[in-house]
Amino acid sequence: MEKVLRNLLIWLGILVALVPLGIIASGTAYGEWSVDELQSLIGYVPAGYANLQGLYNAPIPDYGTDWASSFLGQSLGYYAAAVIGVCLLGGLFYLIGRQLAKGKEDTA
Amino acid sequence: MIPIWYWAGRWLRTNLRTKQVPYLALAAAFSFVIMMFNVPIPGGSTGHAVGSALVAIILGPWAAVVTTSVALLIQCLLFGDGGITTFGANCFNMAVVIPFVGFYTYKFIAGKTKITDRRRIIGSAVGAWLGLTLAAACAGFEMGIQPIINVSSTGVPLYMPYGLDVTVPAMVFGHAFFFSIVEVIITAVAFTYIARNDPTIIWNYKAIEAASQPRVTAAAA
Repeated sequence: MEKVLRNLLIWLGILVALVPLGIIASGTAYGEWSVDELQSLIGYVPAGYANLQGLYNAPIPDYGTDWASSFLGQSLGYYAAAVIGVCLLGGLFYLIGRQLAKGKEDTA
Repeated sequence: MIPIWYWAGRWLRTNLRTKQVPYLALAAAFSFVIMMFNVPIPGGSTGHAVGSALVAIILGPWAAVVTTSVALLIQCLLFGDGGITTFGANCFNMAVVIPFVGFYTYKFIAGKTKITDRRRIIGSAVGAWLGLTLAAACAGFEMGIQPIINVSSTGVPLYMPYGLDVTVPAMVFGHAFFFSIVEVIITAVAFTYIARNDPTIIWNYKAIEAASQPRVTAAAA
């Protein structure tokens, strides 16, 4: 494997290893409040959001962090989510990319 | 967004080289992981970098449109993050504004310098900052017009309750001073590493090389 690709993969691995850092921050991103948070922020749930509740239920909500209450448990869920995301996206783009690039050897 | 995705797909089909395929896969995975790093800011809110400026500089802005959009799709479908109803807006902000603002800012600052030139590093940093900060301003604008365009018959907001005077400053502040700084660091560090070690990965490397050669006039040649 090319050295640069190998090193970038190692960096990605380090990022994945550090991913639990991302759940230390407990706040919600601006504008991404849940209906409960909106209720306490402004005192009511805007009708449009109330109607959209239950429109779609993600199979792994909150990146696998809500099954546990301890930081360790949440980290494990978050790791699993990171690994699933990396494998899915990496695999998908590798396969699609190989098809798209077929026959286009390096001319750069 | 649909015509943009269509064009981005066509661009990839024409321009993606075999050597770049593993890097494209890596870029998509990287986009996903970097967005998992929620950074807390004063005031209790959180946010994250996106990484699309880096992908735009290395693999081209059209490639970044695709990798970031699909990463956002996985986020909302599988993990319930970002939202289905907001998917188009999210893609516009993070998969179009950041790559194009980021790449063209970088290109403008870099000029005709060599791939390893310091100006390119500065360009990548400024591009990353401007790209994410402008994307945040766009998101703030999209949220802030909600109480104007989406209200019930009695004038109560149906969705976002805060107006432009609140949403735009809130989004720009958090990004300009925090999340965009993270974006700058990852973009500049990774760009520098790739440019110094294997610039042939970079999508427009040939054009950069050709433009940075000392000019030989046709007559002299």
